[in-house]
Amino acid sequence: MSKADFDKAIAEIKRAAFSRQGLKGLRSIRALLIDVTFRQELEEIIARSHNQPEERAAIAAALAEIKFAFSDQRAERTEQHSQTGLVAIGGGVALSASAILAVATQILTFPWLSIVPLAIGSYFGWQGTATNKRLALEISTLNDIVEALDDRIRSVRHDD
Amino acid sequence: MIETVINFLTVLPVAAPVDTALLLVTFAYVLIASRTLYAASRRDADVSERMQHWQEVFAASARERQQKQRPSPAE
Repeated sequence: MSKADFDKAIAEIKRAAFSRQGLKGLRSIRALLIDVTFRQELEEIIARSHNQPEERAAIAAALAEIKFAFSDQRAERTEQHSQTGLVAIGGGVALSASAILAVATQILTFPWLSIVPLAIGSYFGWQGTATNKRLALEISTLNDIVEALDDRIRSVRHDD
Repeated sequence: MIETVINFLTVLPVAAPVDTALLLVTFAYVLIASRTLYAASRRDADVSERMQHWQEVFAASARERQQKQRPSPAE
């Protein structure tokens, strides 16, 4: 594989790092980064650029940039995970509970109206649970990606 | 039909303030929760096919390298 092809692959990973990928996309990036053939290719490129420290530094910098982009994504999704837990799930439970409480205490003039907050609270609570589960899996995959990139960056710098 | 609904919405806050408050809170919750869920679910174009392509390219390159390194039977 030529250095130009390797650079193309890195450029595509970088583009993916700056876009918002779903679980499938993130898992495919992780699979590529932990693949033994990717590591071998990287070692081969480093070995070929043995007398060109600036080329090795450029590879390390590109990998670091990708790593930082994925770190940012991880931070953003962690924040969204807690937001979803608080707003969608917590709020949904609170809304449903207040509807039940309002009916139980006979405070409502039209008790049948309590069906609206009960249904909406339950629906968003359920949606929030599904979203939170997906976000947790994405955060875990992003952790693996950042760790794999850390390893690759260390291996590039180790040869300096 | 529309007139009945308008009448109901006009009378409701006066006749049933608690019911109105509950409905307003529900409406505010729908706005906030749907915005939160939308932000958490937004995704760009999937790259899995491209990543799989590069995985295949790296595998082919590794195979090629192995074949070059393997000594020929004549050697």
